[in-house]
Parts: sequence; structure tokens; C-alpha cells
Amino acid sequence: MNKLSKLLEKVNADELDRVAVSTSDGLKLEGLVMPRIEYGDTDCLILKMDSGYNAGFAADKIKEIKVVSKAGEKKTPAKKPVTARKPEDASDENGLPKISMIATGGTIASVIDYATGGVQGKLDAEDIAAAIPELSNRVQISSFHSPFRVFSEDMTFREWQKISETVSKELVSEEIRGAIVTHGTDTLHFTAAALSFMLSGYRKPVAFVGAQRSPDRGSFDGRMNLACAAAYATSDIGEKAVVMHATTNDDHCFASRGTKVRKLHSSRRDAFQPVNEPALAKIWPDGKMERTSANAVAREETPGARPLTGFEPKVAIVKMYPSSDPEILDFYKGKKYRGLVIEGTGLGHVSTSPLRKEDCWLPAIKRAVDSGLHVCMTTQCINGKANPYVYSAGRLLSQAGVQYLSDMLTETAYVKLGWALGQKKGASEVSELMARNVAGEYNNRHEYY
Amino acid sequence: MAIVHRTSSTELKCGIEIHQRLATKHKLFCNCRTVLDEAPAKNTVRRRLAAVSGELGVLDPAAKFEAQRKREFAYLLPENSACLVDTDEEPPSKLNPEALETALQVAKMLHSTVVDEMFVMRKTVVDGSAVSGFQRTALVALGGYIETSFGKVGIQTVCIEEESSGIVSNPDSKGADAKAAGPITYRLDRLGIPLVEIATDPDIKSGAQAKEAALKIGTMLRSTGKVQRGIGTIRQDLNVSVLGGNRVEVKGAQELDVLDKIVDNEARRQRVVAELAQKAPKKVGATSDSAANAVDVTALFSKATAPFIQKAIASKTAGAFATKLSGFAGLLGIELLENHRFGTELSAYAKAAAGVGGIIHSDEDLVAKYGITKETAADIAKTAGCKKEDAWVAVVTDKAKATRALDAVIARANAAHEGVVKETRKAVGEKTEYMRPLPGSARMYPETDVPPVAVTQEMLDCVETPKTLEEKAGEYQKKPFSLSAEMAARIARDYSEQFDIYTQIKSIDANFVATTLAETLTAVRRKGADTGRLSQATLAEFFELYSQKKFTKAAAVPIIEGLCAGKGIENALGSGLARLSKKQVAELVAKKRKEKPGIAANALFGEIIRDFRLVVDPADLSAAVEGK
Repeated sequence: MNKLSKLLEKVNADELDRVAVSTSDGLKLEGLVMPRIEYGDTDCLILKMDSGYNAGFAADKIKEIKVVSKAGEKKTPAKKPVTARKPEDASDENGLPKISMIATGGTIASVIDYATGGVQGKLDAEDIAAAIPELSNRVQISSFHSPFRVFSEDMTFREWQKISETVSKELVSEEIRGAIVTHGTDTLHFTAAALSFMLSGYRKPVAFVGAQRSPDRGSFDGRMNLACAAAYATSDIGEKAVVMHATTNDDHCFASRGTKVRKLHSSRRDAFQPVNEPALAKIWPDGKMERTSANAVAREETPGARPLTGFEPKVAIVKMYPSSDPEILDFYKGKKYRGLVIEGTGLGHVSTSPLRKEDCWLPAIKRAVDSGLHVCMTTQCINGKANPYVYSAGRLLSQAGVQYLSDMLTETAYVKLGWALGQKKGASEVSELMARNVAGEYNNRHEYY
Repeated sequence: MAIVHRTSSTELKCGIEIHQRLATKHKLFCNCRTVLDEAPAKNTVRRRLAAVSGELGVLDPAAKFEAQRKREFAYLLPENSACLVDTDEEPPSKLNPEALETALQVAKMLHSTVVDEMFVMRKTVVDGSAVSGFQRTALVALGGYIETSFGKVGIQTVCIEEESSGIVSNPDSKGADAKAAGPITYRLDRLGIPLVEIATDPDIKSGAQAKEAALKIGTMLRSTGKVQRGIGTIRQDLNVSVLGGNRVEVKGAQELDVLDKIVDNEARRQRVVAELAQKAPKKVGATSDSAANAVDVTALFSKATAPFIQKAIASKTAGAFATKLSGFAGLLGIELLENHRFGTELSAYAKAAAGVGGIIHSDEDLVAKYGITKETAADIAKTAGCKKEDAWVAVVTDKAKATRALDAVIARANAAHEGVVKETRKAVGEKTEYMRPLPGSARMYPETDVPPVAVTQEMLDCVETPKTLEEKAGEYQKKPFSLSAEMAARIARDYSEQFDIYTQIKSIDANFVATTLAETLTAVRRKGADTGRLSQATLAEFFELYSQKKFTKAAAVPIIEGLCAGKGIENALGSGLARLSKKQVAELVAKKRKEKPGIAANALFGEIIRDFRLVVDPADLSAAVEGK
């Protein structure tokens, strides 16, 4: 126990209690005891002054400390910064289209948390919706779900399955126009792709929304994203799409097909951009929508649809780079992996005719394929197609049994391969499924734009 | 002035907040430069802001107020001085150590106690001047004092914070409709420049003392040599209250010259507002978002002859709407300051809430100002439901705005019986005008993207306090400089860095250096020469040659003009500006005596100086005339 803890314990001062402190520097201070967030000198008392500033004072210099008042009800941080608008508040007579909202955590559901430090995903679906008054004017959110709250990087296929089940139950209701899934942004495109495949039998709009700025700041970008997502979820497009800022401006969003979108910037609002095709639509926060793609699937009721949530987790992405060691494939083979997505260079290459024969990937690839691994190829260029026919490397790889996935994004390919293997099909069926355009993951005609 | 000055020195309490921009190489949390960019912006970013809760879950009233206006903001990005951090698209870098060092230096000079660990906070600002919706700020030191001739003034806090972005245009201020008017536009070159903020205790008891304290702190800041200079680089906010009243914050007092008047006028305003409270009824009207308060009096106002009313009503988009203020008859006309009545106060509330041009009320000279006859005025009163003891207030605008404007008027009138209201005002000339509610401490929450900074004893020991400008001025009056008191003060304040460099030249005349820096260069610049072309090396050469007696004092102006025009100094001396040798001067004297035998010494001196002013040194001439 450090000096500060002892000091606080002695006078029975807890977090958020108001204390009076005098220091050996001659300062006389009064303020609230604040918890420490992650970093810094743990033997400094953090006080929140009446001016609102937090400042640290070394325990060594504290001559006297006493509690002025215990944290009253007023002083504790409000559990929910906003009052939720309950579903039952919304009258059925208002004629607004009904949608469902599923919150899974992430920045969009974050507030500052003192217990663990930094920003934590704490808000549930109702909190999020209540903070966006525009939503209640446009749609009626008839059900809220918060199955779990995790940040993007903590998502696994199990969560994809859970979200798929939750969303599919909502979509079968004729009353429900569509759904909004809020999610952390880092792996938002993986989840969007997963639901695109798992719910490929459904033809209702599902919007995946996140935020690059947390809701505790005035510049929260999720506000516009959600307003646009509400418009998407009630639209006539029957696809899963990521709905996020199209540009850095708070002007309009892109709805980008869930299998053809990627996070392309670590912090900008417009990080999510469609890849290898135009966006499905441009959406303005007032609900205006402009279709920007001719091949968007139209919404329809799909009474017989069932979620296909099977997923084989023994699938990996392997990135090829100069000097990368082909033996990594043997590692996966040894670990009984069932599928690999190789993210090759350029048109989809790995080393096939190096100066040193140990650097050649072909033998390792052949060993992997022979042992039953399903090996696919995408391009690490992000934009453009993988094509096995231009260079001999590609032809050799193709002959060795590598399946080229054209313009499918690596992340989408990973999700699709896990899903295809999860459907408990034979090798040829998996190949056939990987080649089939299930959820718009292939675009065979790249327009110039 | 007609107003009786009733200041008693004990009842006024005033504190000053001084914001000074620092001359660091980079901004506080990114690597953009800190110069204001004249270049046109290449890119524009458009954003909206929402009000958010503070750390303790309370929505700040000031933040809420700004967000209610639902404005769009446009941000112009000059290429070299705005980046993704400024546009709220990238997390901030660590706190700039150069800025921190200056802040620690300032804290030391103010005898303040530096905190052991600094936390960067986000201060909610939703007027759009910060793209993120907050300004980053950190408390550096507490306590300390400065001396003034009226007594000590305590220092409350020393903070380091980000400068806001500079406003380019605000269509709202022209009273146009918010949506149609387009965005409020800011430039981002200023955003994020480090500022040191010094807040004094409310120890100041008069306008004169406020002015002196501000001057003193400003001088101290300049003595660090690490602050930016020029218009807008330093500004003062004031906190003013009178006995038994509430604290009022006055923003944006940039002119130090009128700081005393602003403080005294604000104190006077508060005293009259407090007196008015005795007469004001407890409940004047009910505010409501419904249109109930805005009674349509368009038909009656259409009889008014004032062109702005006629024009507005003719446009069909606007009407006239009035509301009753119960028991308020006569109060709106009470003069708080010259040409500033209580009605003027309410008008500012209406402007701020709804962007209307102003209000029209029953205590005004309606005939003279608006061409509203007594009969029409009576009809307006009747329509608004006024009895004899009631007042009415009207606005000419559309119904939605009228409702908002009149609600704000009623709310303020309801509070009149409470006396001075806590609020933020802005300095307008020598007076102040309502701006927005006073922000509370709820507007601060931790900046989680920047780790706290531990201030170690080692860091503090490294900080040197510079000589104060007073100390420097004192030195300049002594040998070897021997400047006059006035010149010493000027040089210390504005030119000490250059002066210290050039006075190192061997046997240089310090007074010549001082006069050149403080007067000659200014005079030459005013005549249109580009003194910006004079590098430190050029000026050093200029002073070097002067100390070698290569030109006279009188030739300094044409030589500098030549240098500004791009001529080399040798070139300037070659074209007839070189100082004549003692021998040459003696020859001139001999020649003149030959021409005019028996010429008096005075006349001889005068004639030669008249013809050879630029090349003859008066001391050399005197010596020659006297035959030495």
C-alpha cells in the first residue's frame, strides 16, 4: 500500500469525496478525490477543483487531509448520461417505420470509466438511441438488444453468431423494416461480412454503425452515422451495409456493402470506404438517400430464411512479404487448420522462383493442400483483383491448388472461408461456395472512377 | 457624463484572466507551426457539434445554450498550419515541452506553486471555435501574487491551453436565419497554438488597478522572450462583481487602454441592476416553447413608419410579435449606463437566443424611434393583454424566432428581482453586453488521449526566470548604455533582444542603436520602405560601419531607405553618403571663409550644415570652425 492509499484510508476518504488538503508548499486546496486513470504517478492525489481542473499533488507533500463531505447522491457520476426512450413510450399510432437496434459495444457506446481507465464501452442500445433525438423523429425503435458489450478487438466468431441469431429473430417479423447494429470500428467490417454470409438468406437492410469519436465529445460522429443508419434500415435495399461518414465532413454517409468495405484509416471519420465498387447509397442525416449502385439487392420478406451461423475457427490469414518464411504454413498444418487465406503481393503472388530455394513457397503450399487445407489467395493491395494468369508464379500456385478469390477483400475472404468450412461441406463444395457470389463479395466489373 | 460615480472602493471585486499566445515552434499538441497563415486555405471541413455531459454527468448550461442553435461550422485549413489533429481526425501528440517550460517559467515569476502532476482536461466549447467541441487545458500552478501600487493581487491559477480557431464569418451576427445563413466559418491556423492563462484572485478593487495588474502581467510575460507579439496575441477576460451580487464574466477585452473603463462601467451597471431588483416583480410571465407568449401584432406594426419595420412586414416572411411583462412598466427605461437601459439588456438576450436584430418595448420613445403613434402603442398594449402596470416587448421577425426571442426576454425579466445574474458578457467598447450563461465546472473532463505529465524537481530547477522588463530598463539607464528613462523602458519592452546584440559592437553609441531601433526604423517604415528586408546581419553591418565613423547620424535614414530598397551598404555610402573626414571638413570651412571673408562662426556653421547635413558630423564641424 502506498503513501497515498494510507493517507486516504486514515481519514476514510473515498473516491469522489470532497476533501480539504494542506501541503508543505503552503497550498490549501479543496476538491473531489478522483480515481486514477491508467497512467501516472500513483503516489499523487488527484483532486478535481471547483474550477473543474484535475491536478495531482504528491502524497509526500500532504501535511493534512480531511473529508469535508462524503460523496452524496448528487456527486456520483450519473450512471446513464441520458434518459432512455423506452420502446413502450413510442405509440404505435405514430406511423413511424419500426426497426430493431442491437448494441455490441465500441466507441459509439463509450463513456469515460474511472475504474479501468480511459474510455469504456458502457452504453446500451437504449442509451445510444436516446442520445440521438433525430432517431425518434424518423423511426420507431421497437426493440433494443445489448447481448454483450465488447470492443472491436475483443470480438470473436462467437459474437458474430450471437449477433446473427439476435438480428435474424428480429428480421423475421413483418413489422420490422430493418436493423441497426452498433459496433466498435476496428473490426466492424469483419462482423459486417460475417452477418452478410450468416444471414445471406434474409433480404432486409441491416446497418452496421460505429463511431470514430466517442459520444462524450461535442464532435461525436456517431450521431450522424446513426441518423443515416436509421434511414438505411428503413430503405428498400435488402443488404447488410456499413453506414459511416463518407468524407471528413458531417454532411453525408456512405452505405457500403458489408462484404466490400474496409477500415482504411486508424482515426478519421471517413475511415470506412467501399473497396472495388461504389457505395450502395449516399445518405444524408435528414433521411435523404441517393442510390449510387445499380446492383443493390432489393428488400423483400423472406419468411423461410434461417441463419447459417456455422463457423470454422481454424482458419488463418497469412501475409506474404519479402523474406517471409514458407514454413509458417507447416505450423498451421501441424495445428490442424482447415483453411488459409494467403494475402499475396500484387496480383496474388508468393515466392515461387527465388534465388535461394529455401525461400520458395510452392513446396509448403503443396504440403498444405495435400493435407486437406483449403488455401485461398487474395491481394494485399486492397484495391484490384487477384489473378493467377498474368505471371508464372500465379499459374504455378493455381496448379498447386490455391483458389484465387479475385477482388474479394482479405478480411471478407477470411470470414467467408471460416463460414464455408463451418457449413460442414466437402472440399469441392467449399471450393464451389467460395467461388459463388453469395453476398456481393465479388464484383466482376470494375468501373473506372 | 450624467451618471453619478458611486464607486466605493471596497464593494467592487474584480479578477483578471490573461491569455497569452506563446511563440513556440510547434502547436501544443501537434507539429503544425504557430504562425497565423495569410495563405488562402486549400481545404474546408464542415462539421456540427452537439452538447454533451461533463465528467459528473451534468450538462453544462453554456454548452447546452450554444448547441441549441444547431449551427453548421466550416473550418478553413491553411496548408502548413493545420493538420488532422486540428480537424479532430487524429489523437493529439504529447504536450509540447517547449510550451510547458515557458509556463513553468511564468509560474516561477508569479511565485506560484507548480502542481506535482498535470492532467490535460477537455473544456467543453460548443461555439464551434474548437473542432473537437472542447479546448485542451491543464492546470500548471496555483497561488502566487503580483505587486501593484494599490496592493498585492493574488494569483489563482496558471494554466496552459490551446488557442481557439479564429472566426472568419458568422452569418448569425447579422440576424439572418440560422439555416439559410450558411455555416459559421473559422480558420484553423490559430487553433492549438499554446496559450498561458493566468487568473488572478478577485483582489482587484478598481478599474485602475485592473489595468495596472494586466499591464504588469503582460510585461512579465514579454520579458520571457517566448511570447507572441501583436494584435490578438494577448487578451484579458474579467470577472466582476459588486457587493451582494453575482459574478459576471466579461470576455474579449483586447484594448488595455479601456480596461479600467470596462471594469468601472460594469460595476456601475451591476449596481443599478441590483437597485432595479427592489422594484421588479417576482413573476413577470411564464416562458414556454409554445407560441403562446408571442402575440401577433403584425397588423398594428404595419402602421409604424420606421423603414426597417415596413420592409420586414412587406417581405411577408416576418411579422411583429409582442409579449406582456407583468408589473414591469417603467423598468425597461431605467438607465444602467449612458444610452444603456434595462431594455438594452433584454435586447441582448433576445439577440443571443434567436438572432433577432433587437427588441422594441413600451418604455421607448416609440413615436420618434419607430413612428408608432400613441394610439397604436395603446392598441399594442391592449392586444398583448397589458394593464397599466405592465410593459410589453415586441420583435419583428418570423414566429418561431419571435417565440424564442420573447421567451429569453421573459426569462431574464423573471430574474430581474434577483439582481445581478451570473452570466458571460462580452466587452463592446467601454461597456459590456450579454453573451451566454456562465459556464460551470461541469464543462471539464479528462483528455484521455494524453497521459498525465509529472512535474519533477529537476524540471523546475532547469527553469530560469528571466530579468523582468523593469530590471532590464534599469540596466539600460546605467553605463555603458546610459539611455534616458523613457527610452530604456521602450527598448526593454520592445527591442531588448536586438539591442543586446548590436550594443556588443565595439565602441558603438548605445543611444544611436536605441534611436535607430525605436524611432528611425519606424519612421522609415511609415514612409513606405520595406523594413522587413533588413536582416540581422545587414543591421549589424550598418551599426559596425557607424561605429567606424563611416557615415553620420543624419545619413542613417537615407542609408536605411537604400538598404530597404535592396542596395548594399557600400553602394549606399558610395553614392554620396559617406562621412567626410576631419580634413575634408576643415577644407570646407577654409573654402567658405575664403568666399565670405569675416563670416561669423554661427553663420559659417549654419551654411555648411545646410549644404552638407548628411555627410558632415556636427562635432567635426564645430571643431573645424573653432579651428581645433
